[in-house]
Amino acid sequence: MNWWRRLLASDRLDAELDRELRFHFDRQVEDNLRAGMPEEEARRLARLQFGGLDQLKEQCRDARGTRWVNELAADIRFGFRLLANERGLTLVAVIALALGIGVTNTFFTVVNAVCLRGLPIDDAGRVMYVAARDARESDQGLSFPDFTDMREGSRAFSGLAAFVSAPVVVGDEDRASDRAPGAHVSSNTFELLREHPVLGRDFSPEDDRPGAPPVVILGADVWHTRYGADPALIGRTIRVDGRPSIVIGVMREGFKFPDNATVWRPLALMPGVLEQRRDSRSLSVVGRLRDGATMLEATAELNAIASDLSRRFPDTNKGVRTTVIPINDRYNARITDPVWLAFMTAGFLVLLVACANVGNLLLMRATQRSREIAIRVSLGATRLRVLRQLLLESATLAALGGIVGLGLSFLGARLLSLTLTENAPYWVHFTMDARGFAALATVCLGSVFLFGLAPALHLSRTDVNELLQDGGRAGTGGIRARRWTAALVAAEFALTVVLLAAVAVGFRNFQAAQASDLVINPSNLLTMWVSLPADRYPTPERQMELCDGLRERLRGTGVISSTAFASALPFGGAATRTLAIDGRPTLNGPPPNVSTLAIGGRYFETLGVPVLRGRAFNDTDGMPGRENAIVNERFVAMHFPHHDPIGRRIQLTDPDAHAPAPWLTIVGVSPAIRQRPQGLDPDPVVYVPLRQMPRSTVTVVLRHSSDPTSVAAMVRQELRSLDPELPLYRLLTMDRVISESRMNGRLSQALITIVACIALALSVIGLHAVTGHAVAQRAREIGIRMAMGARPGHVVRMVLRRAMAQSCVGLLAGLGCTVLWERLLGDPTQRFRMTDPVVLTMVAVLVGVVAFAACVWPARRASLLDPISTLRTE
Amino acid sequence: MALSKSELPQGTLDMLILQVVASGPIHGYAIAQRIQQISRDALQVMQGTLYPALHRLENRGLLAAAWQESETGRDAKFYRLTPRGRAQLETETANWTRLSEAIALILQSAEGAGQ
Repeated sequence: MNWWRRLLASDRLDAELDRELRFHFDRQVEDNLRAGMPEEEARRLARLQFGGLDQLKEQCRDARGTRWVNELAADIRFGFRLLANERGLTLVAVIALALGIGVTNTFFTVVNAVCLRGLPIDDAGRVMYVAARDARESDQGLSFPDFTDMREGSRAFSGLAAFVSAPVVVGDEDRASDRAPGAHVSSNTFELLREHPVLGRDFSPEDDRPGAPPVVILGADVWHTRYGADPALIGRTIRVDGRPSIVIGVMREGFKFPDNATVWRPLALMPGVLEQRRDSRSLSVVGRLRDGATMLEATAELNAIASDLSRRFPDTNKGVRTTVIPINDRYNARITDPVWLAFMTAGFLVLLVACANVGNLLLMRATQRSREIAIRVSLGATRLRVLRQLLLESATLAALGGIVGLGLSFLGARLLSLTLTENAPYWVHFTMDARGFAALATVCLGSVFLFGLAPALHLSRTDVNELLQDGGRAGTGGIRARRWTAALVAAEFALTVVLLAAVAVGFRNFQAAQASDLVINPSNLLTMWVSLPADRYPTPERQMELCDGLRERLRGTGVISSTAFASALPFGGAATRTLAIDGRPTLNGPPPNVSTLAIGGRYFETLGVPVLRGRAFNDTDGMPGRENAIVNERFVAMHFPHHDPIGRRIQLTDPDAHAPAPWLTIVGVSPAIRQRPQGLDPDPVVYVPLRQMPRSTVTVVLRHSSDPTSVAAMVRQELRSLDPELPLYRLLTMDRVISESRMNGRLSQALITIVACIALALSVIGLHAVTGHAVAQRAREIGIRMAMGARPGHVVRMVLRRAMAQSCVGLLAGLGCTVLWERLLGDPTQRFRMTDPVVLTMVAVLVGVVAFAACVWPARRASLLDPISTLRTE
Repeated sequence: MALSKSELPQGTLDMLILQVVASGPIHGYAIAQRIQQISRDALQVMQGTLYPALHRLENRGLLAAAWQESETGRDAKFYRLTPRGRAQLETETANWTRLSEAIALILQSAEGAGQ
């Protein structure tokens, strides 16, 4: 009979044991009778020889090896009964743990999705991302000729594929076009990623040749929304960027490699790719390692090819080498970023506060259980057994808390999903996976030790004699317990102070940013984007023609008072260029950067912003010979603090461009409209006329006097009449644009506020419980004092003094920790740091008031104690 | 001489039980009788040591047990040796013999040296 069956058939085994021993006993009696003893004597002797029957049975049962299971089951049952009896304590503990574990788990879900999980590629560890690093140590993509050479020369990779993300315009004869994110990919890309179209076929090398008939593969999204999941679409022709292309396949739901793409075309069809110069490094390259090849081998091999290229083509490839990293390293956020570290640490802080709370509760209950423990010890329980039982009770609490916490974190993750993942990469899902569950289990187990070990150790060390004599009230043990609880409460407050400081400083920074930057007048402003495909709008003149035509038509509608065009919206980022000023010697060190924006139409007038000095652009600005620029106030403050910039010449150089940039003459100064969303001050911006910076997309801003929906419809109409192939997308009011640019900041602010509130609530509950318990413990002492003449006010002051002392210690420790946090994880670009005096004062006052409120109630209860009843009860 | 737990080491008792069971299926009472008989009353195993040892050996798979009719007509739990038990018996017997020979040699040489 093996171990399992012995475990389950214990009743039958006990019955058998009984029969066996009874048989032995009867035979002994028979032998004694045969030897001549009288019946009574025989039986008595046999019983003596047998010894202790129960002990014998115990030993036989022990020999089965299943005793510990029964002990464990008994301990668990007892633990549950105990928790069910003390429902109040259990509820508080489970809620505290659920909050702590829930917060930690939610944060981990986010970090897992963004930093750890990586792309959903089969065997992603063998897929590498290949990039070029030039002599200046900056990372770039590969050029087409370089990529082809690498592909032909490489043995370590079973395949190399290149891709470029580019939004496309999808059109049909009968409908308005749509803009969709897309990509040009090598024909073997899907095969390399081990993906296959669910409908139709994959690209073949024939499709990826110059001059091949254009084909396209669609993603599930586009297939569903635009073509109604029509399976007959395969083989039909649609227009992609104006070109008729045959649909050859549809990919599975959820596949959007590399950048939320839903339309894929062969790389050879990308305009200009085959004629790409060797130093035009814009292709992203991935490859799958051959079985048995290592990343190091692949790097060495590609570097050998690179050095050969740098020998053969020194003009373009000198000093250029290749880097090979796992694909997930390239696309995952770095978990060692201070942002994510701070994130995880905040979650842990709440968990620590929760554990401190529950630890306190258990310690307080310990003093009531010491009698029971003493009896167990005197009945023969080893210290290990007692410890095991107490830890098991803690584990039960942790398990319950973990289950509820898991539910809370599902809610939290859901909420975050809804608000955060609009523009997120397609592989980021805030869901639990195996790693998440493992982390959850670790957290629960760890928390058992965090909050359960100290009380268990403390309790299992109870001295039996001392306890049973003292009538169940621990003497010196009480002092030790009190010190522990005091320390835990102080720790809770310290951690809460840190979190509150983070909230307060975030709030202050946020307010400051919001107040200072709104220079434009956002009311009644509508924004939208238009793409200008290169094949039909190749020259700046053609683009300007379209813009002017659109402006005329919009003015003709009567509801639009002014129109502007730009390469980016306010708060929407901008291109960066390095700056050189005519007449100023270049300083050593890297040249300064400025943001640059191309504007057309009446940009400043539409935004409601006056040009402060000089003039705005007119129709001739930007033509050859009239390269002009307008700068904003921040630019002036940084580079022309004491002179008038009007008339001075500057040069903006694109680090990637080859031709030298023209010298621009400053003709006007505008107020400082911010382009980059974060940062202390608005960025220095140089505005250039639209025709000077030809683009493939342009944003249109118009001020209207009607409602946005009808205006939008009108604009679509007018644009279609000009060119039916141009789609309008990302239609938003300016208010919405501004609030979206602030969304991330607001969200992280909201998150940390919730977390800090949870921590504060837990600390308050903890302090309240501890003070109440202390009052109950000291009831006798208080009764004696009052009987001897102490007034209620005295009593209240006495209780308050001790409780407030604990919180003050905690507060000071917390202030110290805040300084430490700021030093390690602080963000130096923000205006207000966590050590800002106003912030710390606010937090200290808040914590002081809250702590006072938490302990004033038990203190008052103490003063209302009736001395007679407390002295009478034991 | 009746042996309590502390005098006869557990391993040795196991070996004796295995040896007694080796000659055929036998129940617990008879094992106790047999050990007493064969050792000519030098060893008397108490129930408190015998039955835990029997159960331990059974749980380790060295003995197999079955309920059969005994010589008195009542049913009793009979133990017999399993192949593993037989192998274990041989090993332990060999060890014990080697050990006792070595001790005997040392004792003899000590006597010789003493004289």
